[in-house]
Amino acid sequence: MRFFTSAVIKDLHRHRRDFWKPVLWGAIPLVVGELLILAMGGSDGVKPRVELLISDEDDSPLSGFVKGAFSQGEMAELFHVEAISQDAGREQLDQGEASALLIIPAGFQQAVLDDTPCQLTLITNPAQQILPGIAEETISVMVDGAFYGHRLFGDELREIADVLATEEDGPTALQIVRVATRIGAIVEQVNEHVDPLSITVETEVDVPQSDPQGNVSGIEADVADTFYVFPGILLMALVFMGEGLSGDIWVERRQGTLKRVIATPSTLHAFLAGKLAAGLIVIGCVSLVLLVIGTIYFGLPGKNLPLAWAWMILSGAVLTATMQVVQLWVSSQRAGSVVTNSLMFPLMMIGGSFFPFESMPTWMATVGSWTPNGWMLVQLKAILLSQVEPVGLALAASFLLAILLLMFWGGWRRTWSTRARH
Amino acid sequence: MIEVEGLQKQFGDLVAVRDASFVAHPGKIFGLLGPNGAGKSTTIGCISGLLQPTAGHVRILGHDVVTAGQASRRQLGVMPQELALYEDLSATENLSFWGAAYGLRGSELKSRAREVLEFVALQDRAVEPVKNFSGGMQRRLNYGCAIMHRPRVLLLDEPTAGVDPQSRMRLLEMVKEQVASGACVLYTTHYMEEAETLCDELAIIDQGTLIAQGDLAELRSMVGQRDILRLTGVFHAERVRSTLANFDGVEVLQADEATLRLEMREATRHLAKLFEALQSAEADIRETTVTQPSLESLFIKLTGKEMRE
Repeated sequence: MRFFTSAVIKDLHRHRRDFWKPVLWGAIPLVVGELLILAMGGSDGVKPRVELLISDEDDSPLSGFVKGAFSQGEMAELFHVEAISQDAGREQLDQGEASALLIIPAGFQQAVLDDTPCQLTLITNPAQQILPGIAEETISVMVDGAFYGHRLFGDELREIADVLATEEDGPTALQIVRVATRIGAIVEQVNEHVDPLSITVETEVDVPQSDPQGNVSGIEADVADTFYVFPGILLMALVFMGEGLSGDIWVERRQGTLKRVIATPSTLHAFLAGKLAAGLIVIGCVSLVLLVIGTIYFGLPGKNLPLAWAWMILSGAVLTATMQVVQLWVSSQRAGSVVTNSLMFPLMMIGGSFFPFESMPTWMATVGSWTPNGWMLVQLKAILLSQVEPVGLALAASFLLAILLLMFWGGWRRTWSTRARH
Repeated sequence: MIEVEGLQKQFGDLVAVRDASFVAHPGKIFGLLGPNGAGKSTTIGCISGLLQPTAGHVRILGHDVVTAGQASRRQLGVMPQELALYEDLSATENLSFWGAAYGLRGSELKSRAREVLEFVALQDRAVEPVKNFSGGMQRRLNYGCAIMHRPRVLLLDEPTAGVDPQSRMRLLEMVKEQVASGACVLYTTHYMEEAETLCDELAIIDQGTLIAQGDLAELRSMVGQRDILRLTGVFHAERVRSTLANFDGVEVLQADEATLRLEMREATRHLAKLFEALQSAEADIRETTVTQPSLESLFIKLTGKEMRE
């Protein structure tokens, strides 16, 4: 135990002298993550909006209501509406300057009031895929709304249409009150069924283990967009640290200190355990700094930070011990570095560090979530979002601990059997 | 005391050490002498517990290195051939770590580290990273790390290899001081002169086999008072051999087309006559070297080659 402590202190002194290495282990993933966030539109950049052109050939109160609907409340954040003639609209669309052109034909209001067939035309920009789709879905919802509205208030609407068609001065106050009273009565009847709703939908979020997309559906409303990227950055830092720390066994071997330790009465496993523990302290420090940065600048939810920190340390230990075993199985430091790097980068790419699972095709996200770092990432996200059951977390941590012990034993065996090698 | 009995170490088909037996006594320096690759470091590896002997026994103060490894290693101080130091740590940090590896703790560790720093004359550079040290300073610190726990048995594997003369002198003095305090030292080197001046007992190893051992006087008597004469040039080996067969007191150790090695008494006095004889054998002599009776000449006599070949 005493030699273990000496080994920890020795390596901590060494890491302190080589201060920039841990700094880089944390800084490089941060830079990569920041670049990714910028490439994805940034955390406070302008959100993409549907550029919707509306050619209103009816010019009625109802067509005006449709135009106005796109500029109200949350719709205004999603749509930018411009009234335009049909020809000018087609020209802009051809030039790729808009997402879609909605043509409201003449006679639209009358057709709606009369409940006769009527066709709205939506011309979409083929160069854009998502934004015209949003316009189409929204208009389709509005059309459905109009249909059900007609089913409920058909007679009243027809009466308004007749008044508008016959009376030059528009409806009288008495006519308006009569229609409003009838509509009020209908709403009251409907309220019995819809308030409270007879049928409710309860949404359950899948537990993270079975969610290859990394809990997208469960993300709380107050979680920033950058949350999708940042846990991947944390895992990237852990992988970098694992690779860097595992290579130190070659430094010990090259400078002859590993052999010298074996010639002392102290045990090799105490020496290796001390080495791992010092590495864990470094991983803990870097992880803590990254979590704080993540909370302040990347909108990381702060509820479960201590648990997330512990998970990162355990994951870092497993990655370090595993990569150390890989390093020990090859014949030289250079070969070790080549092998670990060639494992590390594909794993980070598919394991959600470079590209969030949310942006991957489902099959790839599924595969990625079963890579070691991908699995650790899914758990980390679940911890950060408080979506993990204590029992599930305990099982996951026990699994990691078992892997850690297995890898440590493998590393010790391999070091012992190759102890005389330079 | 180190007792090595029938030691053998094989790496696959290669026999690195073959049936080696010797005893190194307390208060004495036992030199293991041989060229590079002779098996010295393998022998040290087996004694220090780094390598498992294929056959034979090694005991340190009575503890078998295989069956009582920890007990035997506790008595041992090892100075490996390569610098086994943490270059990014200071001299004090290195000494403290290696002292701790041998069980020193707390104030004892601190005071011993200060003591050793003074002993190896590095007290002024105590907190500086070792990577800033000269080669000689690093060697001294390497030695310091080996004696932190006041070992009763010290293994020094080529401690002066690549060291400047001044540091070499200092290192040799330090070793002598250690021996004077009663330690048993096993010292490997390929420097003959160093072995002659430093060691009380010697074993010469070549190609894994101990070819001679004893104290200096015993080994010298094996050479006798005969010089080794080395001639290079162009020779007709058979003709030279038949000519020299009639030359009184000359023994041919080696004769080939380029080199001739002879053993004879007072070679310098007989050079003229010898050259005359060789000329009659159509030898074209370009260089002549005479080696006085020494371990070097013993090695040449035993192996037919020079130590550094």
